[in-house]
Amino acid sequence: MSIIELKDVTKTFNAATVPIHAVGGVDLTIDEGEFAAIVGPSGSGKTTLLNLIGGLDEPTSGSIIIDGTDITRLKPGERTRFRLRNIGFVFQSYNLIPVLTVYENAGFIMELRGDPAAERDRRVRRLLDEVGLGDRLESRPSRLSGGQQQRVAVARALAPRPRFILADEPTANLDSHSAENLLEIMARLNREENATFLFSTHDPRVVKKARRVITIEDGAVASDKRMPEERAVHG
Amino acid sequence: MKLIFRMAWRNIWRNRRRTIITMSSIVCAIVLSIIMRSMQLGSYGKMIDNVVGTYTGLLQVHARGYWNDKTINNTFAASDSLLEAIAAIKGVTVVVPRLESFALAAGADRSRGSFIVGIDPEKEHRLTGLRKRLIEGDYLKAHDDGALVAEGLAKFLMVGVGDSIVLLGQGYHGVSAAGAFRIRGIVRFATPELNRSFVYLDLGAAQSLFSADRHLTSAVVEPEKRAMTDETVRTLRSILDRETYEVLTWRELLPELVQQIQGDNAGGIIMLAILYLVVAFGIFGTILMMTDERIREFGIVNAVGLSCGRLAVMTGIETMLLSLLAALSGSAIALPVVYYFNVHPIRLTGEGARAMINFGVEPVLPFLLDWRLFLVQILIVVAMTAVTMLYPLFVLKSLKPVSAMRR
Ligand SMILES: Nc1ncnc2c1ncn2[C@@H]1O[C@H](COP(=O)(O)OP(=O)(O)O)[C@@H](O)[C@H]1O
Ligand SMILES: [Mg+2]
Repeated sequence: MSIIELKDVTKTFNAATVPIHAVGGVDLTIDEGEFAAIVGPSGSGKTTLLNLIGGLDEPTSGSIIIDGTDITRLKPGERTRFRLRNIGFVFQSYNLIPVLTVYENAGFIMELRGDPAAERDRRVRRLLDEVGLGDRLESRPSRLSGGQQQRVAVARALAPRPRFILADEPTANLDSHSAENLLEIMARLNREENATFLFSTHDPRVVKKARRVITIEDGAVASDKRMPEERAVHG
Repeated sequence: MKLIFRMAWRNIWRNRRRTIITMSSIVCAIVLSIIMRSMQLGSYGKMIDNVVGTYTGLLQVHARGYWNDKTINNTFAASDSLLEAIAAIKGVTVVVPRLESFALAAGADRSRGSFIVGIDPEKEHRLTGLRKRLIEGDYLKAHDDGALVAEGLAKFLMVGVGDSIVLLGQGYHGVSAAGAFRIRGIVRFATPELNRSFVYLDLGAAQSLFSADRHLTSAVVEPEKRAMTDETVRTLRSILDRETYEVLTWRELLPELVQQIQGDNAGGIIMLAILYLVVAFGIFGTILMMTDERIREFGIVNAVGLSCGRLAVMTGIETMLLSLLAALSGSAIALPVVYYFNVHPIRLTGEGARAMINFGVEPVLPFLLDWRLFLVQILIVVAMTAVTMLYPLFVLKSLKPVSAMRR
């Protein structure tokens, strides 16, 4: 069953000199439980595409349907609420709130949503254990390494059980060991919680972990391959 | 909401040094302005009390039109019931009847125009402390047929206690007024105009001198406190017939005093305005930095679902909390200072002090202790902050998570 459906989506930036066609005519469907990577060189349009899917930006044309809702038709305020209810985000870097502790950061979205405190507490503790930070609950993000911070970000995104999680180059600022570790955690949560992940990368070692690899070039889908199951699991 | 508050609180202390510097500037401004205002307003209060207490009183009832045309013909017949009704008004401590007019005062060889005041000696003393002004002789008794003469006038006429003066003038409806009065005492005023012209008679004696039986030019009504003046005026106006009477406060009776205070006050306010302007720019600078350095962060939290509205509330709480905290600490610091100088007024020395002693008042400068003084300063800070708060609102209004995160 598809959660994300893009129909002929284009995005053109009207830059100072010439218009930039960052995304051109993308059709794409993501199903529940997928662990999919968007791969492409820098400037190919990965970030733009993920921003469109996440409702952070509006396409120039085409429609983006999430769980039956065409998010391109939502007003800005409605879109913010929609994101809060349905989408988890992990960004490239510095995406935790510096004044909140690890525990508070991980529970941030749930708290914003007004989820019951007891449930939040249980969920946050479990997820932070899961990402290996169960002993750092009271630390501030600045005390953590980049890899640890991204793990908190994954826990934060996953905590309210969103329909899917978007991660734009989550490993770009990490060393290869931390990058691999983060991907393993994401893959495990994908299996255990059936959480849907859509992430972008241009790191071949990260691509290896994906079960589906969507390659884009110049803002268009160049190839879309599903990987054999066991390769992803044991990769 | 709790989360927003918690974040706001911690954001304030994120750059501890900057916050402390900003808050200190607010604290200093508040302390300085409260103390300055308290001193200034306290000195005005003292000034008003001095002038009002010398003769005028806080408010006066006249026959309508008397103040613009001060003649003996513009008097009113004061029945006991009228005076009693006024005295019965809540907060009124004393009602002082007077009959005032001009007359020529003559000693053995010389004469001069003088100001004749018919008084109820006891009530007059309660209002102005006239008995304490005696430098020679005795005070008037009830129904006395003698006179009290101001020191300067007595010197000019070359008369003393026990001598007689002759008063010559015009009485009610043009009747001629003439009488001789034995001098019971000499009084001294610091104000030269008063000192060279005042003659006090008993009210009854004055009324018969001017053929104005039972008539008064004014009744001074003294409320317990100066702050009660306006309230008392309202009551008076409601019980007195507007066609027959006029009720004037010290502000209308002493316009020069009011002007002098206003002029001085404006200077003080301009100084405070400059002070606050400097502080406002300090607050604005901090808010500017607190906003601009976090635009990327705003973009991220908005992307994950914190609405711009809640972000705006958060920044609002941050700045308000910072200012209010500083304003309250400033007030808390200023309070004991103001309180101390209210209870133990500053004792003045030098020329000014001598002038005050001559006026018959203690040469002290009490500070005004009034919660409104604090409230006003706090409100000024809050209002200033509210204006600077528009900046983050303006930024958040056009916040686009995508472009914010690209920064
Ligand atoms: N806000 C923008 N304004 C103008 N051009 C943009 C903007 N965002 C992205 N682009 C351009 O769109 C293209 C795709 O960028 P992006 O989606 O960031 O690629 P990637 O994430 O794959 O590196 C690039 O040429 C980039 O310069
Ligand atoms: Mg990118």
